[in-house]
Formats: sequence, structure tokens, C-alpha cells
Amino acid sequence: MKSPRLQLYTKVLIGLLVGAVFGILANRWGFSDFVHSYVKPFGSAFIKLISMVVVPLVFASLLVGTASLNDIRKLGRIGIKTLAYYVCTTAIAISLGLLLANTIKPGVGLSEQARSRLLQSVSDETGTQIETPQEQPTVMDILLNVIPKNPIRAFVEGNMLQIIFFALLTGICLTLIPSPRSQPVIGFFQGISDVMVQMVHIIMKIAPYGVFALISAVVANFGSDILFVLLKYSIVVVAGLALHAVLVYSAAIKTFSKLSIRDFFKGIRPAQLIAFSSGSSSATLPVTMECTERTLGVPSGIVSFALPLGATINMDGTALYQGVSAVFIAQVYGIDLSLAQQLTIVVTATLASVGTSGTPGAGIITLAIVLKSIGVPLEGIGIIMGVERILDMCRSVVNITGDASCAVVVASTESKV
Amino acid sequence: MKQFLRLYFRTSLALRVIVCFVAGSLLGGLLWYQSQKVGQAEIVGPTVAERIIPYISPFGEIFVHMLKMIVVPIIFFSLVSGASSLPIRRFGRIGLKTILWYLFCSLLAAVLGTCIALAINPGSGANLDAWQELMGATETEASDAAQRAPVERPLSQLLLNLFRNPFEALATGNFLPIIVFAIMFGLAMRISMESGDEQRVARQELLGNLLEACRDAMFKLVDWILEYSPIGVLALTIVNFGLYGPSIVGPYVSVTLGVVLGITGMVFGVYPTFLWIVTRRNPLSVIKQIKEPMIMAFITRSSAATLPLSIKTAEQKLRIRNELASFSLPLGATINMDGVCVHLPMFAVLAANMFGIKLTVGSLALLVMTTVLSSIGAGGVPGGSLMLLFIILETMGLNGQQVAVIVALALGINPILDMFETMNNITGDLVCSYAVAANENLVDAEFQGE
Repeated sequence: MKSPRLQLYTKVLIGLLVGAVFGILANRWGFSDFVHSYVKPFGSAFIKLISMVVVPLVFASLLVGTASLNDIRKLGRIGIKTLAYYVCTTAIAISLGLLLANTIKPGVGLSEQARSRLLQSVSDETGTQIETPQEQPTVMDILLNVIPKNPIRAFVEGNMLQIIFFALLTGICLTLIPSPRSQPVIGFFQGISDVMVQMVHIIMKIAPYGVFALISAVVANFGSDILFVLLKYSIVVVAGLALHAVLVYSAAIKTFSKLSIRDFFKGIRPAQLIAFSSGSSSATLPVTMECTERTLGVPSGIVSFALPLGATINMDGTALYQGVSAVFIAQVYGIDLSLAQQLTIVVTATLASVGTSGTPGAGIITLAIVLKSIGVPLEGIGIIMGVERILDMCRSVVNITGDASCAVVVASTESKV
Repeated sequence: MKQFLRLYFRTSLALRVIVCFVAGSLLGGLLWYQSQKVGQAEIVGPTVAERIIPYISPFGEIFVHMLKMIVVPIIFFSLVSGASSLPIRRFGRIGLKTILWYLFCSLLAAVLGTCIALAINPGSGANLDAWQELMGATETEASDAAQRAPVERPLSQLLLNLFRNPFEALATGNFLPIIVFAIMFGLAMRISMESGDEQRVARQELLGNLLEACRDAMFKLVDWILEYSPIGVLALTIVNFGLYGPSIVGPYVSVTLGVVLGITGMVFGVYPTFLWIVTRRNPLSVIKQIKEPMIMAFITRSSAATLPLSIKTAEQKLRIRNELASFSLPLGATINMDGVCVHLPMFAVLAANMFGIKLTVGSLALLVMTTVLSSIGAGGVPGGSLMLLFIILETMGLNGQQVAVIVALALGINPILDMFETMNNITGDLVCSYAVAANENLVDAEFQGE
């Protein structure tokens, strides 16, 4: 058998590189408008095509995963492990971000002039985005909002936390009723989830072209001068992300599993590429699940339990980014953050990223909540908007890597890889 | 009374609909005539029409609502079942080719239908003013619809609207994404079924049976709803004629003309050209060979009933090998609905003219695309073209009342149009099968004129 995975991966990589070159050319020769209106739609369509699968896939696979764990104690053990892993890595990510931002101080040198220029360049579009999170959701709201009033409506709205909640409960209940009656139902949903995975297979055939379109659009629209002003900040974020991915996940995998680190990173590379070009971890979810199950050999029960959950609530990359950005903006405005304030950042960022998941542009909204909680002016977000897209792409890679590493670690501790 | 009921149920549904249509138009005409007279005599107070119509129109609207209720599940289930029964691996390249050519012919039909519809412009004479006067409230609704109708969508919007969260699409009745998702779902099911992994295949069969059972249940439900259609037609035509009077006859005539013209164009223009380009053989002799199933389809108005004859014709007269004919023709009867593709744009343009919706290039492209894609799922659905009409009208952004007007129009002349449509469908199936056969060397021997 030939290895279609490697082939696909190579193709996607080629698509990415060609797209980047094409985007640079478009930027140079001034046909970026053409790229924006005629190439980008195909990229967005590709993303929407994968996203189309997400709701049924998450529900069906999570339900089957839960039901196939078969025994409530085991489910509880795996659930606790998964959650603990997610919370720990997220906390580490934020701390790492804060540490880096505090030592390197990327925002201290930024001149008044540069700041106002940055604010001007993007004020319109951020203005509306920042205004949305007027009241900060309390912990109680976040918890209550997890319970759907009407599960079908949760499907319609694509509210992931609610879908997950309902799927978990249904799965648990299926294990409690007599097997002759529960088997057809589980088989049905297993069938649905097979179909969804098959659909992802079909869709992935056009992934190289989709990635090409996405990347060329990003590169073509990207002004390099903004990147230059924010160079130090961007480097800190990217370095933090890289450090986190390499150190934390490698350590976790080394400690808990027999899988070699190289194999792990090689196995999830296709998913990383899609995450990078789409900038969305939930859109990448179907691909992540496939990589983790087929290439890394994690049993499907754990994959379909840990990953949908992780794509929704575990955002290490985003959390790290929040930490760096909050400190950066504070530094630009010359505000000194006390230790207590920094701790507030850790807590708020973790909670807010769970609560606002699934909303588009979640990163910015959570950042607004974080800034509000430490009393830094919200319009500071405008300063970093110029590089938001490119950092979003990088942090999505870390997000899905974190999810996949969790699945591997949990499966290893259950000795199932 | 009992005898009357027995007679009623023994008459075929189509005849019942036609009788009700004629009766409704006569009664409606009378009402209209009376109200005109009242207008002339300057008698103050409501006319008979104004007093009666509010009590009649609900009976028609019930019908429209019932159809609306069923359209989302039926299109989803029948598309999934249809797509999942496409033999992808088993027939390989030839199967794929047949499917593509069916789709291509449907596309040609939809484009031709749209062109003819734009040329004839049905309903442009039915003046909106009279209509606004009579149903004062609708004025705003019509302009609402005009606003909601897609304003020159850029490529990106058109593309992006194709793929949505399927649950959202089902809940909002957004048909294009439903169609796309259902087709992809069915295809993915098919591929899983052919994967060979026993457990997976068993699960897919379970899933397939369940979806098919749902589809059959929906079909049964449509049958019941259609039993109500004579009453619905009666009410809807009385209202239409009572409000617009004889001026409504114009759209009927022009739509019928347009459809007949388009179908004639397909059968004697497009198919022969297509055949000639693909096979380089005398196309007219092929058409001549298949005239028997064409006539049969015209009379029976049923692709399914004509299927045995058309298979026989394909094998004995066109000398298409059995292995192709026995698969391509039943497949064509399900997914290839060229006649419907000609007919739907007619009503869409009519609706646009009546309610003042501006048709742009983008919305026309959307119309063609919706027509072709949704026609895949119409096979075997009782009253299939009626369901598709709903989808088209909803995609155009019409509201319930406006849909009711158009459906009332369509219902009355459907039995007549149906004859032409079925003939066209059968011809399309045979022509495509023959083209594939000739192209793939699946024709046994050259047939000799006659």
C-alpha cells in the first residue's frame, strides 16, 4: 500500500509554499485585490466545507466515544485526566507567556508616534469588535451556559460546549440501559461518525488548493511595515508558542508515553498545516482526529472524547498569546502590572477562553475581557490588530498540538497506544 | 353521498385536480365579474368577492403549508438515499461518466429553460398595480421580498453559502447547503459501504435502511397531502381568479407555451446536437428509434411505468449492452430530470415578474444551480416538481402568500406540463445512455435505420 498520508502532507506543504510565494508576488505587483476577491473565497469555502462536518462529527463521535468507554468509573478517570491535562498545560502556557513578556519587555521601546499610527490604521474594524464584550461573563454564567435548553437548538447554533454536554450525557445514559436496546443507537451514531470521517477524507483531497488560496490571501494583504513595528512583540509570541510546543508537549509525551517525540510531531503535521492556514482549531478538528487516531494509534474512544473537548476548551496557544498581549499593551501604555494583576490574567484568561469558545473572533473578545479585568485601556487591542491574523495562525497550531498531545498522554496512561 | 365519494376516489388524482381547477377558475371568474359590476354601479360596501375570499383562501393556504412542512425532510432524505445508491466503485469510470452526463444535460436544460423564460417573460403583463390594489398589504411584502432577494452576490458569497452547519441549514430551510450536505453525506456513505470492512458496512447498512425508511415515510405523507390537493387547488384558483380576473390567464398560457417550447427545443435541438458532437452518428435516427418510450411516457406521465419499455428499447433498438442499460436507465429515472429543469425557471421568472424581484446575473446563476442540484433528489418523489418549485421559490426569498399564488398557478397546469416533462426525462435518459454506450464501445452492433 502506498502512503497517501505522506503524499497529502507533501501536497499541502507545496500548496502552502506556492501560496506564500504567490501572495508575495501579488503584494509586490499590486494585484492583491484580485487575490482578495477571487482567490480567497476558495480558501474560505474550503474552511467552511470542513466546518460543515464539525457539528455532526463532534456529537456523533463524542457520544460513541463516551458510550464505548462502557463503564462510568473509567469514563470518570479519563475525563478527570483529560481535564487536568488541559488545565495544567493552559496554566503553563499563560505563565510562560507572562514570563517572556516580563523579561523581554517588547512594549517598552514603542514610541508614542508608532502607537498612534497603529491605532489609526485599524481603528474602524476593531472598534466594533471591541465593543461587543460589554459585560464580563461571571463564572456562574459560564457554567450555566453549558447546559442547553434545547439540544436541537444547540446543534442549529453550533454551540460546542452545549453539544458536548448533551453528547456526554446521552453517551453515559446509553451505557446504563440494556445493551440490546442501546446497541442499535450506538451503531447508528457510529455510522454517522464513519460517514463524517469519510467526508473529511473526500474534502482533504482539495486541501492543497484550499491552503494555497488561504495563505496567498493572507500574505497578499499583509503589510510588512506593520510587522516591522511589532516585530519584537510578534517574535515574543511566536517564540513563546514554539517553546511551549517543543518543551511542554515533548516533556509530557516523553514522561507518559512510549511514543517518540519525532513520531508524534510527524504524525500530526497534516493537522498542523491545516490549523496554520485556517487559523481555527475547531475547523481543523476532523483532521486532528484523523491524524491522532490513524497515525498516532490512539484508540478511537479516547480520541473522540478528548479532542472535541480539547478543540473547544483547551487553547494553550491562545492563552499564551493573551498573556503576552496583555503585558505588551500594558507596557505600551506604561502601566506596571503587579503580581496580583498578573495572576488575575492567568485566571481570567483561562476561564474566559472556556466560556467564549465557539464565538468567531474569540481571541479578541477574550483579550478584551482580560484587559478589562486588569484595568488596561481596551483600545490598546487596536495596536496589535495588524498582526492578529498571522499570530492567530500560529497559535492555532499550538492549540491543536496540545489537544493531540493530551489524547496521546491520556491513552498512554491507560496503556492503550 | 356514498356513491359520490366512491366516484371521487375512483377518479384519478390528476383528473380530480383538473376538474377542481376548471371549477375554481369558473367560480373565481364569476366572483371577479360580480365585483367589477359592483365597481361600475358605484355601490358602496364590500363585494361578494371581498366577503367570501377570506373564508376560502385558508383552505388553499393549508395546502401550501402542508407542502412546506414536508419539503425539508423529503429533499434531505431522498437526496441522501439517492446519492448513497450511486454505484461509484462498481461501475467505476462508466458510472461516473453517466452521472456527469446526466448532470450536464440537466444543466443544459436549466440554462435553456432560463433563457426561454427570460425571452417570453411570463407574467410581465400581469400588472402589479391591480394586484396591489386588491391585496393592499402585499405591497410591502413584495418589496420586502425584493429586498431580501440576493442583490448581485459576489462569487465569495455564493460559494460560502453552499457550506453551512447542516443543522442550521435544516432549521432555516436554506436549501442549497442542505442539498450539498445531503449529496456529500450520501456519497460518503456509499464509499464507506464499499470499503469492505465488514463492521463498517453493517453500520452503513443500518444507517441506510433507517434513512430509506424515513424517506418512504415522507413519501407516504406526501401521498396523503396530495389527496388534499383537489380541495387546495379549488380554493387557490378561486382566490386567484376572483382577485385578478381574466388577466391571470396570461401567465398560464405563457408558462405552458414556454415549457412546451423549451422541451421541444431539448428533444429536437439540444439532444441531437449533443449526440452528434459526442457520437458523430446521425442523431435523428436515434430519436426515431426511441419514439415508442417517448410516447409511452407522454401518455402515462410516469418515468417508472415507462422504465421497462425504455430498457427494452435501449437494448433491442439502440443495441446498448444490458450491463449499461440496466443500470443507467433506472439511475436516470431517479437523478436525471431534464424536463423539470426546463420547467422550473419558467415559474421562477414568472414569480420574479409578478412580485417585482429583480433578477441579476448572480441570482440567475443561483437559480440554475439550485434547479440542477435539487432535481437530483426529485426522482420518485410524488409530486416531485412541486417540491422543487418550493425550493426554488424559497431560495428566491418569496413569502408564504406569494408562494401560494405561484403554487396555485403551477398546480392547475401541472398535469399537462407533466406529460411533456416525463417525455423529456425519458428522452434524456436514453440519449445519455446511448452517448455513454457509443463512447465506451458498449453498443453491440450498428443499428440500421429501421
